[in-house]
Amino acid sequence: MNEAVARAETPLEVRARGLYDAARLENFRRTDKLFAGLMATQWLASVVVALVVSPFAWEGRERVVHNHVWIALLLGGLISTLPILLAVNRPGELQTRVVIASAQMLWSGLLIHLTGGRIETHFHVFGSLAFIAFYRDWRILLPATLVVAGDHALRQFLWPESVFGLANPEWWRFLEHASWVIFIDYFLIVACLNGDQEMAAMARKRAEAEMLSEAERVKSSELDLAVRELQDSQDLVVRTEKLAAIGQLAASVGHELRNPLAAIRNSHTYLQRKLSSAPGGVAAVDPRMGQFLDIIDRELTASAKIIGDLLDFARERPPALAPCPLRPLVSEAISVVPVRPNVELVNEVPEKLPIPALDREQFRQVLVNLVQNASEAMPEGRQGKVVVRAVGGAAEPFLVTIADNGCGIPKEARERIFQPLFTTKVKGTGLGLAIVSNVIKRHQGSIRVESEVDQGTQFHIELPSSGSADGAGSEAAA
Amino acid sequence: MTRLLLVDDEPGLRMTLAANLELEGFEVIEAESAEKALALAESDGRFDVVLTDVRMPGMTGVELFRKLKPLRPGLPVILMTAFALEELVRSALDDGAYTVLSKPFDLVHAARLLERASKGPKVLIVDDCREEADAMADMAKQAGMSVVVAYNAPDAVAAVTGGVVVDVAVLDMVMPETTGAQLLDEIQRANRDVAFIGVSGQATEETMRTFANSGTSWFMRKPFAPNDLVRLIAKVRGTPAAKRLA
Repeated sequence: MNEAVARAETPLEVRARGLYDAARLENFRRTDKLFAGLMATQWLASVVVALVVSPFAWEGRERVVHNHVWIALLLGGLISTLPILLAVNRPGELQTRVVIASAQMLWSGLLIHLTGGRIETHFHVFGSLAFIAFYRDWRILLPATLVVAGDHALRQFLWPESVFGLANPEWWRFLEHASWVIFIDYFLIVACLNGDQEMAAMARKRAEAEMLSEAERVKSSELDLAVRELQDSQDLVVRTEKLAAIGQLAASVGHELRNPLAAIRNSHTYLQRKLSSAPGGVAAVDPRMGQFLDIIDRELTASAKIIGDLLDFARERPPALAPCPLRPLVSEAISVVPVRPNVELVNEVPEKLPIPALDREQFRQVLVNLVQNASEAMPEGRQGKVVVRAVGGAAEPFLVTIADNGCGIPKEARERIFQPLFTTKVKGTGLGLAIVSNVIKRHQGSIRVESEVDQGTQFHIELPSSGSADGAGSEAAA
Repeated sequence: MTRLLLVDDEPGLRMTLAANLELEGFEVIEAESAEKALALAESDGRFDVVLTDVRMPGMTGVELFRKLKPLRPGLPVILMTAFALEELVRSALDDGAYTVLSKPFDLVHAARLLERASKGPKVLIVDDCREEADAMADMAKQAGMSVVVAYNAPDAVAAVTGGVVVDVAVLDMVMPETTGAQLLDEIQRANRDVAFIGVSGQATEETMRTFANSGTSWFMRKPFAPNDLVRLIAKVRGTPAAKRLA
């Protein structure tokens, strides 16, 4: 029992009920409007009947404008007015139906009276009941039945000729009429209920159909989405495979180039030494010899860096974490960065900073890349300063900042600088910051950038504090 | 003059490297393959140090090292490679190869390294706890390194000054009588070229910083695996000495 009460309606039931209610309402309104028209017609008809029939039935063959005409006009109008008003202003409402049904039965009574109790006019009663059944609301038959029975009973006793055309009908005549009415009522009620059930069933079927087609639509769009996603995944796989293949190729090329580079460098070193130690030095052979030897040196360094970047990026070695004091590491990194006359590199990492767990070589490279970038970003003519600071490391994570007063990074570039192969430099692999980002990620840290064009840039590196870092032993690279 | 056996299959690289090393004062004997190098070692014999490429057709440099070990125990072998043959190289280091150089490398650094290696330097292990010191010494010996052990500071200093060539000192950072930092100072005064690895279960950060300021800031936290120590020693040996901070 509790189950039936507690069970919530399913969406199907809700929707079916909604459709059913709407259909019912529509039917009520339609039928109300139908009756409004009928009322008006009956009114007109009653006046005509009064003019034509009534005098004949009453006074023999003399036709005069009997007061029946006035009765028809006035009483008919009275009976019809409220129903018509309600049908127009409040269609579909229960009170409208009740009023209409009652008024319709009063019309039967009036018409019977106007025709002097003529038998055939009594058929109007049954016709009206049938019309009332159009509502398919069996309850309306009750007031209708009451009105017609009451009307018959009352007039039989007060004015029998008006109903039966006889002066002395049997006392039970009204009952005979009433029982016919009840007989008809029964079948009309059944018809109403059936019709109602049919409406409910149809509403349910419609609801089912609607829900089915909606489900179909949803499935179809889900399928579309899935197909699109699959397409995207496939594209991604192809792209990733391509990148992986290119990466492997690049790494292999990088490696292959190292031997030739080493050989060239060795040759250069030898030539440089021999020529320098010759009498008159290098310039004695040719004034530009020294310059060109320098060019070889520089370009070799550049080549080695490009290959180094490429291989570092491709290699993804897990960091071998060990306690590594930061201040000396920063000094070391700074000492490696090429000097620029207008740029000052400052190590402001405190002596007493807690000691982080780092892969020394990998993090050194992070610092070198960032400091060198900062140095190179200094426009000519500006007195540049690159500062490395650090705080935290005990209770909170380490926060290492590399700040410069260089040319800054515009907003559009800022979102992309950590992506591989993205560079704003004329020459450059675009891998430096990608390597930095990878190394920091593998140290369980994070990096973000703040920058103002022409003012400067700050890179903020966050690293886990010493407390949480696992420094037990130096983990061998996998 | 230090006799160096140079093994590389790439003639361009081998010849130029040999020429430069000769300018640096080495006597260089070239071999174009590991097989030839092995033959030379067996017949000629007296080399002070070997510098070999790893990836070569036929026998690799690592296999060469393994074959040389029983033949000429104590002969320092330095590997050089252009390729990231991590596993291969690491296994050689675990077996006691002196260190590995990545091509292209700085010649001056290489020359210094070769000179140092040719002297057959030892690893100095200092720990006041006997078991720990011996354990570490065993790790290094297993890999074929020559080791000298000291259980206190004075012995350690004596080991360095007594004419024994030490290039790496593994120090327990917390010891009675003297702090690791003081010992470090004393050792460095005796021999500037020693690189330090600081080891401890719970060293204070102050101590670590002092170590770091010496310019060689390698640390290991106990406990560690044998391979870790051996690999770190090889790594330290291959790293150019950082500038000493004031």
